[in-house]
Amino acid sequence: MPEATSENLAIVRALLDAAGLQPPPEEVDRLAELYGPIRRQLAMVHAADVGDVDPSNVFRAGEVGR
Amino acid sequence: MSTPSTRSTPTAAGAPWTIESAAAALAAGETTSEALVRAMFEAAARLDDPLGVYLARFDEDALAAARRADAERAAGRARGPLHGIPIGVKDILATDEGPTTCQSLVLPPSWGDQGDGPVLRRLRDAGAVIMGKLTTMEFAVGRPDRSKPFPLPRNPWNTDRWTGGSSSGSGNGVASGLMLGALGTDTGGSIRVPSAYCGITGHKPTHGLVPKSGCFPLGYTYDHLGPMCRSAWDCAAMLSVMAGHDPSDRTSVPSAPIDYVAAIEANGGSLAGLRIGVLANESIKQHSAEWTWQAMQEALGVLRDAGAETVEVVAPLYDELHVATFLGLQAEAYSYHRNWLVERWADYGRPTRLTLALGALISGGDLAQCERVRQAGRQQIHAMMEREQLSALVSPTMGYGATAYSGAAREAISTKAMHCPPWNGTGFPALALPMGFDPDGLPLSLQVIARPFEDAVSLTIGHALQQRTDWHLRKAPLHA
Repeated sequence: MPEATSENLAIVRALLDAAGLQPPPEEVDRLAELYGPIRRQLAMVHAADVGDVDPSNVFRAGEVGR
Repeated sequence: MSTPSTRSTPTAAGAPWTIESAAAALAAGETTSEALVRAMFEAAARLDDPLGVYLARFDEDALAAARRADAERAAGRARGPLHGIPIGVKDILATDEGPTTCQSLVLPPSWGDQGDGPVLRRLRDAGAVIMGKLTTMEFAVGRPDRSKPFPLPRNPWNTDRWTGGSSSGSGNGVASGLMLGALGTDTGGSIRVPSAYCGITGHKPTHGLVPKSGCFPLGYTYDHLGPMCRSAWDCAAMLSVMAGHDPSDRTSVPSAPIDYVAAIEANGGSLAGLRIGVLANESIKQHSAEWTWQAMQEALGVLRDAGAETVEVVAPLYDELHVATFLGLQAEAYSYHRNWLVERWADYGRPTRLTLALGALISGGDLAQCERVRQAGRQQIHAMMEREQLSALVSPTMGYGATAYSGAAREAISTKAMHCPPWNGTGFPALALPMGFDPDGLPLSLQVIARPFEDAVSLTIGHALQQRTDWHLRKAPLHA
């Protein structure tokens, strides 16, 4: 099981607080353990060579359905 | 590593009902819909407790629908291959009969008051008999949670093993013969994972082919509805009815009706002229057991015997698509659940609330980049298929057989052993079908991916394999 660093724990506490979420301390610890792997995954996503491509979820003003 | 084994696996003798065989028997007057439905409910009375298939059974309504189907058939008004066929529904889809819970204490009961969405209506119009609502993971996310008052779904091949999720009851319900087909949903693999673990055939259609109105959302842009059955033929029969535009779903794509059964039977089981790319990405190999890889090689040999050409390829941006799909769907799911998480944190199961809360740790810029990776991955993989003249891609569906509820090997429970998520991110159609067994007698599964809106290609390849093998007809130890 990855260990939560004190830095990640502080970040996760701040993000959860900003979101209005108040998990019990042991669940905050678990989310902080998961935060490091998530940042590494996101680093891979940001490093991908995607050129000038648009996001896949394109907005069309004329679509007024549900 | 050992070689693939068929130890502890039964033969296909006394083959179970499929939609195809049941439809033939009904047409020939050898059985009735009422007899099928009654027998399956009687089996459920014995098997539902150990397997955890149903959240709600619609016995009276289903028997009444079966009798109506029989009367219509007697009057010469049979509607097609689903006429009188018992079908189950994952409990994140609303139905006219009763409540929808999403297997959660959080969902307001009024959510289900909307009743049937377009897919349910189409299935009923085709004569299908709706048997009841089936177990899932809470809100189709997370892991089984023993702390909440819902059944724990178990695998009919070994009840110490998980069914896979989140379409758990759809997987073990079909695999144990308690229904002939089921509706599942798939956001990161939730049709294909339980199909793989339970030894059945499941199809995640092209995104936009099947309208998803009436289905509780998980990841808005990743969600798919699809059929789960014994065979590719059965999936083709269900998809023929389920597919088609409906204005209630903004992502639903206008398309001409397709008879997928006719499409897969068109070449008499020949795959001549089809070139299939075998995904050789290092991460897929690294996160698959040796016996899984060997079972796939044997399946590929069968496909070559049917006339297909196979060639190894590496899918561009595969690993990036894998993580972008998980992260993107977590962010989308969080957007729906945030207010309930604030107000009712403890009412969610622990695995569910932790998974949903991860969405609060992903920034807007992160999500936009995930969406750009999806688009680039979709373009680049499609371009590769064009360049290599590939009709389809294949990989194992899962790297390992069904995981144990306790003491599962770390590599088997890793999300990296799921080879499904990139096809939610791209929206390409993907079929999961049985291809053998692991050394513990648990099913292994092949995944067949096609180009967008070429679902018939995946189903044709699956049908050709199943005409030459009987993995899909093997009966689990717990079976009706």
